[in-house]
Amino acid sequence: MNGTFPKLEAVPFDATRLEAVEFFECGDDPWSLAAAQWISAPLEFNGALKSIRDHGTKVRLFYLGPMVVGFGTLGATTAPWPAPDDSHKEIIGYIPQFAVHSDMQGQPEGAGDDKFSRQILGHLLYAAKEASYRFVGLMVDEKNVKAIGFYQSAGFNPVAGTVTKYGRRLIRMLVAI
Amino acid sequence: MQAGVYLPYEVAKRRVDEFASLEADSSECSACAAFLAAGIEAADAIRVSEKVLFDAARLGIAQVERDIVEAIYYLYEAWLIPCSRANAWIDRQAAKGDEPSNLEQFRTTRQLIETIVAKNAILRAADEPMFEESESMPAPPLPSIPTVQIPIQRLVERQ
Repeated sequence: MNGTFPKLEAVPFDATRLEAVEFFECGDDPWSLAAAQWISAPLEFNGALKSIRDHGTKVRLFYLGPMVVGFGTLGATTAPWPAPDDSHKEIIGYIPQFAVHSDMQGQPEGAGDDKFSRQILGHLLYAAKEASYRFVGLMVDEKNVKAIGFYQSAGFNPVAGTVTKYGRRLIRMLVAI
Repeated sequence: MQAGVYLPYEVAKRRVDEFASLEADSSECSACAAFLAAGIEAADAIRVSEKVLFDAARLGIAQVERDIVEAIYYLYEAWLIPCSRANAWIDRQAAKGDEPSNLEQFRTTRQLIETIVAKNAILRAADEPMFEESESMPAPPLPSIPTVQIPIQRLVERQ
């Protein structure tokens, strides 16, 4: 990498930033629509603000200048997850939400490790490492092939313990950091 | 003010009730088209009611109760119930060589509502981020794809 690609800035999300994400969009499939509504929802709807209030979720927006390129959250599992080799279980860092704006997906072209999606994920992994987690996990719908492919390419691997919620089967994926 | 905010929900509920209660046994193509039109109208009404509540809450115009949000989620699901009758009716018309003029619009609407119901299920699950219960299932096999090393790096943080 030649280091000329723009770097995002991370900003904590709270109610004062709601206007910045009012028109955030990241795709037309149900998962993307849910992510866009999650970040832009007022407190009364299921969304980031409610999650911050009820669960203490830490949400960050990622800016390029004035534009919100994406958002991500990092928390921890409340129950231990199986390690990749299934040898034991432990509390790990957990990414409940992650999205990149439609216009910024795959951007900047030719940026490799500096692609915005990787910058955001890299920042979340850094935060997890700072918090002394050895692993970071997330859950992804087994039908969400695009997301599974992205996380897999980033080194996440599926681990035991598929979860069913509201009729959706969710795969646990995990990466060592 | 509160009643005014909830009015679109009441309209939507009435529209969905009407859609659900319409008889779907006439052989007339125009009756089938009217049935589909009622469905399209009801779907529009639900989306309007959700948008009004969403905007009212966002703009601080009204305090929106959690129950009404759930009620709207339920309306989307309820809308899909009469769709099986609509499909059967559409099939009967097709067998006669008839096609309601608003068939494509209805199909587009149905696809949209199905997507919204799926989205709402995802949002409900997202509200319960601590997944403690898991089935004892092995890790699912995924296709082998090349991986990259994500650079674990701290971006500049600003407040």
